[in-house]
Amino acid sequence: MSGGTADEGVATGETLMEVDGMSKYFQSEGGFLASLRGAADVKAVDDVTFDIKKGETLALVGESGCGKSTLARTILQLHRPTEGSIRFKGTDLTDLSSREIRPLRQDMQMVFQDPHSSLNPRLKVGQIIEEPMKAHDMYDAAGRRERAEKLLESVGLEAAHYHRYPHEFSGGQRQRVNLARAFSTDPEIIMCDEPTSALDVSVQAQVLNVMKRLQDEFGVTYLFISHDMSVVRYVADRVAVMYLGHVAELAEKEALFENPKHPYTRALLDSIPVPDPRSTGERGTLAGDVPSPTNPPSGCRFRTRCPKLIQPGTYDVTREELADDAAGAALQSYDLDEPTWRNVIGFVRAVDRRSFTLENVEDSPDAVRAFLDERFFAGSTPSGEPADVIDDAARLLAEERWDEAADHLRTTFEEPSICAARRPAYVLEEDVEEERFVACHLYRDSETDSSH
Amino acid sequence: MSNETILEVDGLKTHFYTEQGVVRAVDGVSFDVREREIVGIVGESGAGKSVATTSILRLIEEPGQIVDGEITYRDLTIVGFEEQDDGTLTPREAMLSNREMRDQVRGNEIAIIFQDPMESLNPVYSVGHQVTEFIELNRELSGGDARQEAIDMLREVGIPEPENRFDDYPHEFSGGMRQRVLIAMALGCRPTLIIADEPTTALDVTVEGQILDLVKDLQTKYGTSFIWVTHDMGIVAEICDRVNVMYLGEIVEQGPVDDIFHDTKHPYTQKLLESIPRPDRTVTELDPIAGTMPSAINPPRACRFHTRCPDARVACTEVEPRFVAVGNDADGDGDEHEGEHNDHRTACIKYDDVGYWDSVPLEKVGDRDIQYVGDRS
Repeated sequence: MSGGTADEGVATGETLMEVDGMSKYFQSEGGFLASLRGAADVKAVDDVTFDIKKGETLALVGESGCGKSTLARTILQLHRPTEGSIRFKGTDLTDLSSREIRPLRQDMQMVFQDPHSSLNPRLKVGQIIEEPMKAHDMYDAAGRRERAEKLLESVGLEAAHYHRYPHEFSGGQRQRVNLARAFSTDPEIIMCDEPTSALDVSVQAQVLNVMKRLQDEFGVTYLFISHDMSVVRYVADRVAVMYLGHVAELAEKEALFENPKHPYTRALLDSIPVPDPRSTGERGTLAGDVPSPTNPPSGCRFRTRCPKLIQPGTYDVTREELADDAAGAALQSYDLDEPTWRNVIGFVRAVDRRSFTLENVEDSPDAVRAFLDERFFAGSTPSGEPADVIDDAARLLAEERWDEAADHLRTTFEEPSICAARRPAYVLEEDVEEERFVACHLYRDSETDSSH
Repeated sequence: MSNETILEVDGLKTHFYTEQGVVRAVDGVSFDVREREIVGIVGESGAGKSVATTSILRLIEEPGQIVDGEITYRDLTIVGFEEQDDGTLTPREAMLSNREMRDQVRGNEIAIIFQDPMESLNPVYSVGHQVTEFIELNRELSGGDARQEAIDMLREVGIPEPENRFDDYPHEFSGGMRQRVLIAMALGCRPTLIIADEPTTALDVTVEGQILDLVKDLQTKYGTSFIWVTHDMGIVAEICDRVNVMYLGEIVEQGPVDDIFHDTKHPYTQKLLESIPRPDRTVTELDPIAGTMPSAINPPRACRFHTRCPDARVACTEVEPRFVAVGNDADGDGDEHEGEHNDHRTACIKYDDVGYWDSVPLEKVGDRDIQYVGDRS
C-alpha cells in the first residue's frame, strides 16, 4: 500500500481514530411537552470505545436500529456526541467548533447507500467530483479537472465521462462516481454507509473490487457500515458487531467469522442462509425481537434473547448492581444443572413472548403446571425454590395474569444474573497477538486486561 | 418427484408498451410447479421475475400486457391464445374472465405475498379486521367464525396473543410481524399455491431466518406449493426444491436446486454464483460479471447474455438458444439410473449441436462495463 499525501505522521497500521466512551442519545420526541412527560432518550449509541487504524477497513455490522450508522456519523461529527471523545490524529474533534472541523472534512469523506439520490442530477459528473476539491480550495481549475479525469479512470470509468450527467449511468456506475468524489480530496478516512446494498450482486462485486483497488492505491481507511455479513467478510480487516447501541464484539475478521465469541455474533452468523444446498449444519434461528432503545435491558443488552444467559449466583453480584425489583428476589445460587437451567430460561422467555397458549388446558393451577412440565421441562424439572416459583407462575397463568407471571419469572431468574446486573466488557488476548473485545460475561475468566 | 403438476407456464410473453418502445420484460418463459414443492425464480433486477409471477395472477397493469403463451392451473386456463386467420392472437374461449379469476383463483387457489407488507396492508384498518375480511371474501366463513379463523391463523404464524393484537393497526407491528400477518392472510384462504415475491428482502437477517423457518413448517403442515421470487442465492439454496434462473426476460437455466449449484451449466448462473460474497468462507477476489444488464427494449440478439458472457462466441450472436436437457446424470457416474431426473435444462448453445465449438470466440471487448445503450434506469 502506498501512503497518501497528507500522512502527517500516522503510518499504516497505527491508530488514526480513537473513540473513547462515546455516546449519542436522541430525544425520542422533540419539544417541551415531551420533556415534561419525561420521555426517555433513545440511546442510539451508548458508551462505546475502540480505535480505527490507518489503512484498514473496519466494518460496523448489525441489524437495523443497532446504531451502526449513528456511530459512524457521530465519529465523523455529522452528529455531535452526547458524551465521550473522538481523537483524530491526536486532535479531539469534540473540542472543535463546526467552523474548526470544516477544514478537517477534507480528510473525512462519505459514500452513501442510494446511488440515485446522492448525485446532483443537474451537475455533470466532472463537476460533482470537483465539488469537494473546490470547497477545500484544492488545486486550480485545470488541476481539479485533471484529478477528476484521473479519478474517473481509477474507478473504472473513462476520462471522457467527465461531461456526462448522472442519469446516463447505471446504479453501479453512479456508485463509482460517488467513490471518485469521495477520493477527490485525498481523504484519510471514508465512511461507506451500505455502499452496495442497493445494487445487484454482480454489480456489487464490481464496486467492492473497485473499493479494494482504490484502498491499495491510496492507502485510505474505510469505516464500512453494512448489515450483510457476507459482504463484510469480503472487504473488512476488522469487524465490530453492534447490538442495540453497544459493541458486542470487535475482532479480526477471520477470528470473528471462524470463532465468534459473543452469543449474538454467533446467532447472527448462524442465521445467514448459506448459498449452497449441500451446506451442512442447520441454520440457527434467533427468537424474539430487538427491545426498544428507549428502555434497553440493563447490563448486557442482548441478555433478553441470549441463549447463553448465565444463571444467577454463578458470579457474585452486589445488591447495588441489581435493579430494584430484582434486589428483593435473591442474591443466591440455585445451582441448577445446565439442561434444567436452559429449560427454565426457555420457559421464562415463552411466557414473556406469549409464544404458547393455554386455550386447550383446564384453568386450574395443577392442570397448567402439568402442561408446563410436559411442554417445557420434559426430562429435567427443577426442584426446591425454583420449582416454587414455577408453581407461582402456573397459578398466575391459570388466572390469565400473563404479565405478572412474566415479571415474577424474570425478576427471579433473569434480573439477578450477572448479565442483567453488570455491563460486560472484556479484552481477550488472542494467540495471534491481536486483542479482541467481547462484551459477554462468559469470558469473565479469560480476561487478560481490564482496561476497557 | 412424482407429485402432480398444478401450474404450467408455457411460452409466456408479457410486454410493456412504453413511449421508449416495447419492453420485453418476460419474453417466452416456461416452467411448472408441482404439488408440495417450492420453486424458486432467481435473478437480478430487471430479469423479469416479478412480471412473470404477477402474470400468473393476471395482475399486470397498463401499459403491460400478456401477449402470448399459456398459463394453466390444474384444469383452468388462466392465459391462452389462439391464432386467427390473419395471424393475430386472440384470447381463447376457455380463458377465465376477470371475474372468474377473482372468484375462483386469486386468494383461494393462488395467493401472493409481496416484499413490502406496508403496501399490502391498509394503514387505517386494524390487522385483525383485514385478515378477517380477507377470509370472509375467500372462504365460506363469516362473522364470529371468520374472526376465530383469523385469530387462529395469526397464532399459527407466531403472532403472540393474537386476541389482544387483533385490533392493533399495521404500524404497531414490526416488519417481521407484518410479514407474518400477510402469511396468515394468504394461508387463511387455504390456497394450493402461494407466490412469495421477495417476502424477506426488507427484513433483517435474524427476522428473515424466523420467517423462513415459519414457511418451512407451514409448508410441511399444509402441503402448500410456493413460487419463491428472490435475488438471494442463500435463500434459494435453503428452501427451494427446483430453481429457474432468469436473465433479461428469459429463463436461462432450470433444474433441481442441487444441480443449479453443483452441476451449473449456464455461464450466467456460473458467474452469478461466483460474484456473491460468502458468509461461510473468505473469498480473496470476487469475479464479477462484466458490464450491466442491457435494456429489455432492444435486447441483444440471439443469446441475450452474449454481451457479458466470458464464453461467448460468434455463434452466440446468431443462433437463438433453445432449452436442452443437461441433467440426466444426478450421481455423476455417467449413466442415467432410475430415480435420476431429466429436469435440468439450460438455454445455452454450448450444450446444443449448433456449431458453438466451431465458432470463433467473441473478441474481448476489454472492460465491457462501459455501455450506455439503454442503460438509463
